[in-house]
Parts: sequence; structure tokens; C-alpha cells
Amino acid sequence: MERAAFDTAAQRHARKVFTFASYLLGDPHEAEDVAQEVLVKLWTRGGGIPTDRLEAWLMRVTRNACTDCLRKRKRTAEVISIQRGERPRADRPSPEPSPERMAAGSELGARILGEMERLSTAARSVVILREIQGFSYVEIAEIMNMSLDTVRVTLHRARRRLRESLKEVRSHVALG
Amino acid sequence: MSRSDEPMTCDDVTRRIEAYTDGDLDESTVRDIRRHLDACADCAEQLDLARTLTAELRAMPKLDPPAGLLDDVRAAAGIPGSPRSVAGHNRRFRPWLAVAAAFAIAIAGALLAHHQHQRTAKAEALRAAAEVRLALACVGDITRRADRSARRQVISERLLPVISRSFGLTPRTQSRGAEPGAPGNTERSSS
Repeated sequence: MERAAFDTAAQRHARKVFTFASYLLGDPHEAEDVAQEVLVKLWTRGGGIPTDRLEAWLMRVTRNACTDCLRKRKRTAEVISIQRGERPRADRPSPEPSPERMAAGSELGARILGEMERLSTAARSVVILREIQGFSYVEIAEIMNMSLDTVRVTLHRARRRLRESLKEVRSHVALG
Repeated sequence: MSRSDEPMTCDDVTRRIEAYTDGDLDESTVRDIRRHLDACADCAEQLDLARTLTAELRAMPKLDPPAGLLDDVRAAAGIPGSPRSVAGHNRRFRPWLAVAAAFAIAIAGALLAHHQHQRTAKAEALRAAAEVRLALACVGDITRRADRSARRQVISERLLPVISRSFGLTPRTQSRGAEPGAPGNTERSSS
């Protein structure tokens, strides 16, 4: 890719890449690492990608890099658990609020982000892409390499689960 | 798909609730859903939750990348004309790197301690063997020149403490195994 084309594309898409990685990983440092990795790939491999498909390509590379990052994180957590003599635990959400949760507009928003961490990586990705970043179902299908029906079903199930959590939060607030 | 001929069930409405909030349904389906919602408090609550959820998620901020990200990318990719300051590129604290470093240090420490322990144990064994040899020489010398009580005294006072220490046992003043044949076995064990 030529320098000028790279600069234009990187400046145009860096925010979307970083936003997606930040919400998916819940860690700004890891998100920055992922964004850097993705943009380096834009320089090395982005030359052959048509401009109208560049955004979907970048988001797909971001999703793959985040998946790798989450896998490594899980392995590290398992090793540390074994070192401490604990049972390896599943990908449990951090009890500490992430900067994204802190940045959420309201306490309810922060709780929703907390609940999102319990979703699968694929479901969380679809929710972020659709609801936070505003991609269309067709774009999400291309980014996630899913059929349109799978995108709809995944999103429907994720929203239903988040609605149930939201209902619980509301009932707790009403009782408290 | 219009369902005007029969009333919608709660399941019908729940399945369409996101499409309804997104405005993706045709007019007749919207009308059917509204009719159901007017009569069903549970589905009305589901709709309220769906709207709240969508509103909260759509209000989440889009996040700006750190200011130096593109410079870091240019440096990392080796793009001509970019600063190749790798030191500046990697100056940020990375928790995962700290965890990995701590893990590596812990393993290195454990290996070093194990190695030191082995070295210490070996040195201790060599020293004990030398002491045993010296004590045996004394026993032999005294055996030739002294009586039985003197020999026992040397065995209990000089030989047994060394053997006991070598094997991590509590020294005893007198032992049945402290006959002249026993130290030879000990020497073999120690060497």
C-alpha cells in the first residue's frame, strides 16, 4: 500500500478499530496493541483490498486479533490459577469496572457492559458492531463471516439475554 | 407478514421485538404487535426493556485511539520517513507483560533455589563424609591403643553426631548400630 493511501485509510478507520477492540476486550491497553497490529497489517497487506471493502476487512482483522488476545488471556489466567493451586476458571468478567464501563453514559449502561462480558465473543462482537457502532446486518455478516440469518439469531439471543439481565437489575433496584 | 386474521401470542411478539424497535416490520405486523401490547403488560415491559437496552447501547461513546497510535504504527511497520523509535513505542505499561515477567522470575527463582539447595546438600554430604572418615581414623587408632569403653565414647561422641546430622536424625548418646561394622555402611552411603 502506498504511504498516502495508508495514512488516509488509517486515519479514517483507526477510531472504529479501536472502539471495537476496546469494547470487545474491555482493556484499553490490549485494545491499543490490537489496533496497532491491525493497522500494521493494513500497511503490509491492505494494498490489494478494494476501498469499498476495506472497512469490513479491517473490522474482520480486528475481530480475529481480539479473539487471539482473549484466547491468550484465558490461557494466562489458567496458568496463574494452576500456579496458585486454584481450579482453572472460565472467562470470568473482571470485578473491576473497565474504562469503557466507566465511560458509559449511565450506571445502567455500565451494568449492561458488565453483562455483555458474559456473552460469547461472537455474540458480544455482533452486539457491539450493531448497537454501539451502527453497522448494518449485511456488513456484520461480512465482518463476522456469518450468514445473515446467523447474525439475526445471534443478535436476537444476545439482546434477549441482556434484556433479562436488565429486568433483574430493575427488580433489584425496585426492591432496594 | 401480516397476521391480522388471528391475534399474536406473546411468543410471536417477543420474537419480533427487536425488529419492531428497529422499525424493520411492515405496517400490518406493527399494528398486530401494538394490539397485543395494549392488552399484555409482560410484553409491554419487554418492549420497554428492549428500548432501554438499545438506547443505552447506542449512547455508548465511540472511543478515540491514543494520540501516538499512528506514529507507533508507522514506526512498527517501518514506513519510510517515520520515526523508528522503538523505545518510545514500547514505553507504555502492559499488565500482561508484567504478569508474564513475574511468572518468568518466579520460575527462575524456583530453579535457582533448587539448584542452590542441591549444591548445599552436596557440599554438606562431602563435608560429612570427610568428618566420618576422620572419626573412623580416630576409632581405628583408639581401637588399637585403648580399651572398649574409650572406643564406645569416641563412637558416641564423635561418630554418631556426624552420621545423625548427615541423615537428618536426632543424635543419640549410644546406638546398637554403632559397632565397628556400621560406620563402614555409613561411609558408603555418604560418598
